[in-house]
Amino acid sequence: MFISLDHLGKDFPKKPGALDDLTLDLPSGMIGLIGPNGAGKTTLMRILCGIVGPTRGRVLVDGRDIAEPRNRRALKKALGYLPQDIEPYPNLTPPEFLDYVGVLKGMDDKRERRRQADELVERVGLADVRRRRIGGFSGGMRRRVGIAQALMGDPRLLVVDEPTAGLDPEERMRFRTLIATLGGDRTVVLSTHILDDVAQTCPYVCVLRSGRLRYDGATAGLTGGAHGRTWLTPPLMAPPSGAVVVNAATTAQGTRYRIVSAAPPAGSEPVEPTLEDGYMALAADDRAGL
Amino acid sequence: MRFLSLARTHARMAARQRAVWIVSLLLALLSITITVNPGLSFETDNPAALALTAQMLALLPPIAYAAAFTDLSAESERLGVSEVESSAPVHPVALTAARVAGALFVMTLPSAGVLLFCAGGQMLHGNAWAVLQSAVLFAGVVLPAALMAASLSAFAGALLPRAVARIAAIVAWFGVLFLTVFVPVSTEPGSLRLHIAADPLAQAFFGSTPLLDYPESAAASATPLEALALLVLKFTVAAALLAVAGAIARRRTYRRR
Repeated sequence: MFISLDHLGKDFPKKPGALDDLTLDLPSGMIGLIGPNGAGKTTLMRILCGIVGPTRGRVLVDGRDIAEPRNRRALKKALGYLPQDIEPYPNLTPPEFLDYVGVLKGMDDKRERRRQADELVERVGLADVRRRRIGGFSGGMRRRVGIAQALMGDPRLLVVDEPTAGLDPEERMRFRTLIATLGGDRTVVLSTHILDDVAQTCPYVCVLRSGRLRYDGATAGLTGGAHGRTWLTPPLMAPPSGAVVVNAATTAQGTRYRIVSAAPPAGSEPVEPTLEDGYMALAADDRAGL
Repeated sequence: MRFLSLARTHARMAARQRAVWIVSLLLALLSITITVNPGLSFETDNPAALALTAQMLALLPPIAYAAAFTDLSAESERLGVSEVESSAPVHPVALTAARVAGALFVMTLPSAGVLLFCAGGQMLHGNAWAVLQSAVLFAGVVLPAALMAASLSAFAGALLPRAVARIAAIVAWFGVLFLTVFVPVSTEPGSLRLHIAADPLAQAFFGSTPLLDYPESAAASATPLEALALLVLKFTVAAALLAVAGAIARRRTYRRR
């Protein structure tokens, strides 16, 4: 599935320019969508899912404008969406909720819906509680039901908003693996604040800030932006001024800071950048107006 | 087919609200016991008695529906499931209709059962058309009242916090009754009595008279055309209330977006 954004813009009454002139071609496979809170990630995903329309511009899916009801309907049939905040209906069991989502997605074959629901319940590790109502589940378990519903109907386009929020480390890794296996033959748009998830699973990344596209391209390219600018300081009493602090580790002698800076303090060691460093380097460039 | 599958899921969810179910069953059973003439409606062959039972079923169990349906429009928004529903290839009107139909189907089952039971009794006493009459009364008297109470409840639920909405919806339901069914009749100075108007459909097609028959009110009798027009009006008002409730619920910020 090939998605193309053409001068996309979205205004809200209290927030004009929530998205501002986004032009972008998204490849198939795993795409990371990152940015600070309020950057417009959720708005972009809701537009991609056909929930709200853009104020300006177009979204083309396989060359078809989703402003056309027929095209939007076709997109929705091939779509799986995991919103940031979802609590499945508490009076249903996981297979019942998945069956409901299957019906919503237009899966008319009851037997196929049941088969998929059972398989997904198994896949997200809820087989033991499949007969219990969702209302009695923990937050992590409800999140897993949410993940499973997004996969109902074997969607060609999967849009997931903060999928691992609220999951414990084991669940997070399991979900990351699950998502990574899906990216092979479909388009997956993954929005998250956990940059490690993007680094591990997405070869392509987009960075949004204040509704504008700040970076789109290979994840390695964003990481590479911090190359030669990432340092580990010697133990210091205070963070170095003018540097972006990515991390800090306390030692007996003081605190060692991992920083992104063009001019590190004396004694700093260069280190190999990560996606976090690349993202912070980009943020620093934004603040500097570069 | 898809509509039925969606309605079935919403019916299942409604059926699992046991407290509401039990209250509506008790109120439906209570409705049988209210009679004007000696004997209960299943002990005669008089269609007017069946119509009276239907009118009682349109007055009492809707109190439970008014309390129960506050989540009808707001729940999916509050839970965030509406985002998934909006991203699916289902028309929102069809989805709302399935939600209402599923929930109402379950909630009105006790009333339908009571009417059918009374119709069975009337058949045994010689009213061969009783089952058909009970079906007409269910569709024309009980269901519109249930839908009206549910839509008032959904409207209150979209506007107000759940607990307040329940009280507001019950008060609103009684308000509707006092505006349309209970008509104050002045008697002696310093006292007031209420006369219960018969449902227009029951008046027009089943010859029902007001429960407390005062000469001045007995004169008012609906024609079949008026009765059908009022029926359409009831469904229209209920649909409008549901549409407004849905719009309000969508605009309310239950969660971060």
